[in-house]
Amino acid sequence: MTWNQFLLVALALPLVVALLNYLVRLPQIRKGSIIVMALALIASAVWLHTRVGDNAVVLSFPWADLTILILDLAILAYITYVGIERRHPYIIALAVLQLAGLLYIELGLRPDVSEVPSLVIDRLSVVMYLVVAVIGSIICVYALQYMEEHDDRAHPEERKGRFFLWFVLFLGIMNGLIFANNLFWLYFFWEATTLCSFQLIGHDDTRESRDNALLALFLNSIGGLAMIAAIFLLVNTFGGAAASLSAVVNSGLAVLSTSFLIALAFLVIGGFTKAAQLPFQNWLLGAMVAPTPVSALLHSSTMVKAGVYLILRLAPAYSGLPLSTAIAIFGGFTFLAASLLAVADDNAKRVLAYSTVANLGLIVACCGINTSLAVNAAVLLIVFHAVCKALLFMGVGVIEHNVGSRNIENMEGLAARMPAMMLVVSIGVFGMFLPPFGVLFAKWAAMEASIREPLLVALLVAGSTLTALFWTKWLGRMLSTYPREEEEVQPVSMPGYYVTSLGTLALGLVLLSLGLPAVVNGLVLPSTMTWYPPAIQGMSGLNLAAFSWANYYNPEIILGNAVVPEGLFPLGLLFIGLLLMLVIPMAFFEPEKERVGDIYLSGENLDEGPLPLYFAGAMESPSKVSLGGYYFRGVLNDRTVLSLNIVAAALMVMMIGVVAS
Amino acid sequence: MSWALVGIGVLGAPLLGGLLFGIDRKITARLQGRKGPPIVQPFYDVIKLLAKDSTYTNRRQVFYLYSHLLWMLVALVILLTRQDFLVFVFALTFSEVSLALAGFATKSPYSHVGSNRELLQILASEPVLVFMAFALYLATGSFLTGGVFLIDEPLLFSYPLLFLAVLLVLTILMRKSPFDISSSAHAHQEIVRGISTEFSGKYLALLEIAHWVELIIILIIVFLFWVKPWWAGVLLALGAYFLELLIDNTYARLKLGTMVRTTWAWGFGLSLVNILYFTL
Repeated sequence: MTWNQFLLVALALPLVVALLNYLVRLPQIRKGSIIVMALALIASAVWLHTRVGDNAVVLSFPWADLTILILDLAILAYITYVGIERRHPYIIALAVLQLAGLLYIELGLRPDVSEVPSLVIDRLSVVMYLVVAVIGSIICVYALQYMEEHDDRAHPEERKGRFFLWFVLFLGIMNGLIFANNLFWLYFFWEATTLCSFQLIGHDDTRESRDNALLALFLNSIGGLAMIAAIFLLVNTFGGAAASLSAVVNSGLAVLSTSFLIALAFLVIGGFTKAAQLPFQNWLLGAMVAPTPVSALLHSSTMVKAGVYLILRLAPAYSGLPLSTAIAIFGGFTFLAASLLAVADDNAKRVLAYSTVANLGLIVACCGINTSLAVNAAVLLIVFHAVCKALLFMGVGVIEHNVGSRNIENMEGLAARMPAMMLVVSIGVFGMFLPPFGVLFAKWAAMEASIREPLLVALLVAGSTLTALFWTKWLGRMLSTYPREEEEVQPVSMPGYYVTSLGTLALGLVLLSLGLPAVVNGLVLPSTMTWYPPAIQGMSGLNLAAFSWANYYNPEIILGNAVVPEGLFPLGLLFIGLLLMLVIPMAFFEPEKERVGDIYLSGENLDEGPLPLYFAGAMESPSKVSLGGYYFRGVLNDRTVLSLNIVAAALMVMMIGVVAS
Repeated sequence: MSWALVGIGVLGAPLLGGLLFGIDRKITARLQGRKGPPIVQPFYDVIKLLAKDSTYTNRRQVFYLYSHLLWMLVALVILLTRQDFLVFVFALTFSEVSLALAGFATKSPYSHVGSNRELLQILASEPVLVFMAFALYLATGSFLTGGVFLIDEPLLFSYPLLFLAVLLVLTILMRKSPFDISSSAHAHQEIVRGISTEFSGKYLALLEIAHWVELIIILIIVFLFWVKPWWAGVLLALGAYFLELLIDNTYARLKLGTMVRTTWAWGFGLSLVNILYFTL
């Protein structure tokens, strides 16, 4: 396979499949073409992984520059049209400003970008491509079944055609985004993800979904404008050659040039909007009205990762500057604030969305800490968070279709009714915070790296504790069953598409965590080695040794001499713990020899039929036992959200202040 | 520390913990003007529980109870082998989370209230322990517990405020008044036996044994504040233990909100001030 053939698979194939499904609208063609595309994308990801070494692959397509520009203008014109049609003055203003900026740069400044490579594929792009192509493909397979159940109104085939147009198109655009090096190309793919997101959030065409789609368009347009401003500053000061992401990352100009530094800050703010950092989080929360595959694909595993990807990619450029510290504090604050808001929400998809925002905040904080350990932790978080969240969203989607609600309170007792989904959600949730799993490992690395900023330490400590609270609360509601409930209810059976997609991801999550050393050594370390300069690695307090310690468990390690590693993640011990956790109950628990007891209701239990439970209440009247979760609405309410947003906005203003001074 | 010693630690910790609980009950009885049970009474209790017919309300309850004890032991092993303190905190937290899930697994009003309160107890106590991990790093240059054995000055001297915060959360971890909120040994709470209402027979015994291990873990945490000479740390740990007993017997239980507010204002505040002071 040549590079051109690879790009045909990665970029053109999704485009072709998307158009095919839009035009033909036959279930067989849809299923066949999407499954073939999924397999092709996964195969191409494996191929890419084997082909890209320590040296980045540089590809130039100067002939396509004009096409990209025209498409850019078309998207902006369309966004302006949407703004006018929906009478949203801010969207109009933002789109017109972007149009004017882009036209001024192209016509007024006439940058010479012929020397700028269009695409650069390095190991970090490979990691991102693996995430997008593999997880994205699995979600596509899931969506085939989900959308069958989802659309029950008139013209279902037509609506499915429309859905898969944008859904599949998105995969190709995302692939372009992670390879783009020319800033104009990057900007195009960036805007295109905004457009796809707008279309998919509004897919259900209810009032709520249309409004939320518009909100997403508005907030992401702020990011688009920030990006245009950055490109303008770069091209205006340094000429066309500066419109290159790799040049920006490696130039080291941030200490010399204020306009470069401001451009950098604008790019980072662009990343903040896409990564739904506070105060921009509302578009991501609103996006939860979209069909679940959209939430799984765009709003947790891939599109929001574009935001953190850009911030991460730029890390060497702002390393050692006050801007870096400001980014760290900002990310840490988002981590805390989003975790806090997740505690108070009873909508499962919104809890997942807040958790996504929180984890993206943690990744941003890692970028801001800007040491080798932190940057590696950020890459690891991107990988594991994508797998966990895709799994959780897909699980919640299935539950929602069966329960008819996405409210956590309605998921009570799901452990008996849908044991398979309970297992899937448990694996996903434990993947987020059980010791040997990847996310916790990355969080451990992030926290140990945060020691350089005491304020950040405080933010991470508080946020991390809240994380455990909202996950456990949710799992607890699902676990809550009556005695003998399993025997009374018939478990719901799963269609094959769900079993395949959820099973693959759940198994993949376990295997990736089991093979954590291989993931760290084979994917994460090489990805940072190529673009994150060793000069910065030398400065880090905690070095890569911390990661290599993670590979084995050795209790003797600190005896004998005074050499103590800075940190050690006893992977072996924790896996023994996980294994015993599964084996011991199996070995010691003999349900047939034990009795299932009734629950304690102050001795007033009534036998009013097998399920649910009744007790003798006031005047001996039978009262049903009903329980509810804690949501702390007295403490955490809209006022909290508002004040958190204000603090976040103030932090961002301070960040710009830091840059300007 | 070799595997044999780890083995001795894992087996010895529950025994020592049980004995300390026996002493606790004796002292408490004397403070209240009673004669009190023999010191080995906790062991009698557990043996009796193990011999009882076992009942459970559902399988997941059993699973998470085993998990609670298991991860408590994993946390102990991490401490005994002087490994990463932050990982230790994660393991301990997961152990507590498992207990909460075991409580949630049954649709029982009392155990649900208890589990929700247990979660808030985790929320109240975990931050201080994580701060302690950072304090260890700042004092020794390593997140490993073993680091404190390599410095000459006791941790207590550079982290007196953090020590106060740890004492504050010890009350929560030991499930003593005024913070025995999820499940109380005393008869002064309104939610029956809280989180453990639905555990019986050998599963209640598992919980008791986990408590004994937890007590030893807590004492080791206090011990870390003064490891050289070792007897100073042991005295410090025992001193803290008897201080907790005294507080337990002289204070009534506080409300949930009061606990979270107190620990977040004072525990979090004291820890942070101490760490900031140390870094500046």
